[in-house]
Amino acid sequence: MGRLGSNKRPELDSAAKTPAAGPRAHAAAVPANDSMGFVDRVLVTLTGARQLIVLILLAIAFMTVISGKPLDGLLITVIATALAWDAGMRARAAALAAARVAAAAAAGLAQPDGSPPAGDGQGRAAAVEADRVSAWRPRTERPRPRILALGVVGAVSYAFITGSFTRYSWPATAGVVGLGSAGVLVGWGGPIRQRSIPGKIARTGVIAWGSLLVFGGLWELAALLGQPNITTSSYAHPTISTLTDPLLAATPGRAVALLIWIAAGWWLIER
Amino acid sequence: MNSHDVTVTGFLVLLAGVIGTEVTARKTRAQVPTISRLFTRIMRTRTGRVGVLVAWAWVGLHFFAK
Repeated sequence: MGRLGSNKRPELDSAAKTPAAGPRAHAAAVPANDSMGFVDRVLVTLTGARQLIVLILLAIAFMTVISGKPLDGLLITVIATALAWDAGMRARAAALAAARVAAAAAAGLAQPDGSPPAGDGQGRAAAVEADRVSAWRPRTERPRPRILALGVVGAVSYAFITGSFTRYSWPATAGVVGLGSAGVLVGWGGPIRQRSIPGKIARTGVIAWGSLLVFGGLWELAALLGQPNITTSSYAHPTISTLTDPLLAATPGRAVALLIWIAAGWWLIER
Repeated sequence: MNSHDVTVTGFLVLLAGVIGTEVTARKTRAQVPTISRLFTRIMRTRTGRVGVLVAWAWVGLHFFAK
């Protein structure tokens, strides 16, 4: 755990100390993290806020707030802002690294290992590679059957125990918050298994999946706004939450829903 | 068809769209990624990974937590 988020600042600091000359001036013009002013921090955060996932989280936060859960919305906004900051800092680090490499190339300097100078792509490649660093030891094989069986038994037990509590009660809240936090924490540490990263998504794919995402979001919003008020469900304009209420009214339904939620979380952590 | 049916139909269309897109990605040569590849791509960076997992955690909170 000590390595969580530890692959960022050394690169920044060394880059910021690059002497100013040509492309190096650009690197040196960006202040080091410690000397960043408020405006710089805001700009870095806004740069990271262009990430699609940050925008999606902000949309979720907005929907949560207007649904009458301002604290949940605030929590998600804080996380989205932290992610935007993190992404902005990484983009900045990549730009600094690229400027440093470009400066070395312009000066005709060879790499430390004797190879010829590289282009801007090397800085970005270094930043992407740093992103793949994990605090965990990524496994290369499927989990052992015994571990898998223990996981399944644990998940089923968790689902039925947590599902036996009434929705929105403190025990149910504690169970979901605990597992949800653990999932996010594991994800923050990095991938838990070695996997190949697919190439850039083609425009057709972006349009296909993006259209579904936008349609789903707008349809849910329309149903939400069609309610008598934002906190009262409506038969005429049911949201997804309203439609799933009958399923989640009893313990078996809640247990099944929790099992699906756990399976989805595990599937995501495996990405 | 009343407004309830229209709203539910919209969600069913969405579900059919997701299934149809996934089948298209698996069975044809269309340049559409499967959900698995899509999420692996999105979650290649820490921002994407944490963001997606926060969204997952939020789903649990939304349906079960105070």
